[in-house]
Amino acid sequence: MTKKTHTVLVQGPVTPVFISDSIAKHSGKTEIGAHAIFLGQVRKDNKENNNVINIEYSAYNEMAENAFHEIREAAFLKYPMVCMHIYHSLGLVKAGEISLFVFVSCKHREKSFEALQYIVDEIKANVPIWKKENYEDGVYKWI
Amino acid sequence: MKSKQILNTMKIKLLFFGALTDVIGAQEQMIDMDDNLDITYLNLDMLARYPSLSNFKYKIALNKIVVNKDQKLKDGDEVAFLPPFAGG
Repeated sequence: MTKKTHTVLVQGPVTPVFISDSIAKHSGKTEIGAHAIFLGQVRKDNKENNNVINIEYSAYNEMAENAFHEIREAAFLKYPMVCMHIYHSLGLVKAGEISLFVFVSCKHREKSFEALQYIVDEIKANVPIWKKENYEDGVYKWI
Repeated sequence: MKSKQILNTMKIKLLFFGALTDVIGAQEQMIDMDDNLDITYLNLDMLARYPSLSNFKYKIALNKIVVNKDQKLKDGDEVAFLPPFAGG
């Protein structure tokens, strides 16, 4: 099944308002019985008494969008999803804010859980995105 | 008439990401290379110019596709140095 290409990379955090609006937009798709949602949140890691204040995401944009598209195509072949959306942040995202939003909708819950796990794992492994952890004392660390 | 040596060179665009931007000191470079060279040659040239690059793990993408190092280059190619991905 071929679905149209979606833009996945968004500047800054994914906001709770955006997430709730996305959920609301599905109320008309009444064949859906299960939404599974993954939200990646920036963790305030503490390393050597120094806290992460934010993460700066960067990507090889065009290659990343291609990788997201391939993940999407593969997921639709593998799982009976009604629809699926991915949003990933670029730029600065503060500790406690959301940087990844994966939204899978199926008729039944079992497949939605499986598809969600598959998609998140594929994103972690195959999308050219990098993060720079910025710490309170001004140092940074590439991840 | 003055004889002219014909040197065929290709312009290659290099892109660096993640920690490699600090190693190279830039996100992008344009370089000239002699025709017919491959990514292995380019990689060795980069390691000679930036010895600390050898401390990093990275893959190389040619025109946005990860490739093996024996891949030949051509004029106008875009070569990206990609450290391990860390999305999410």
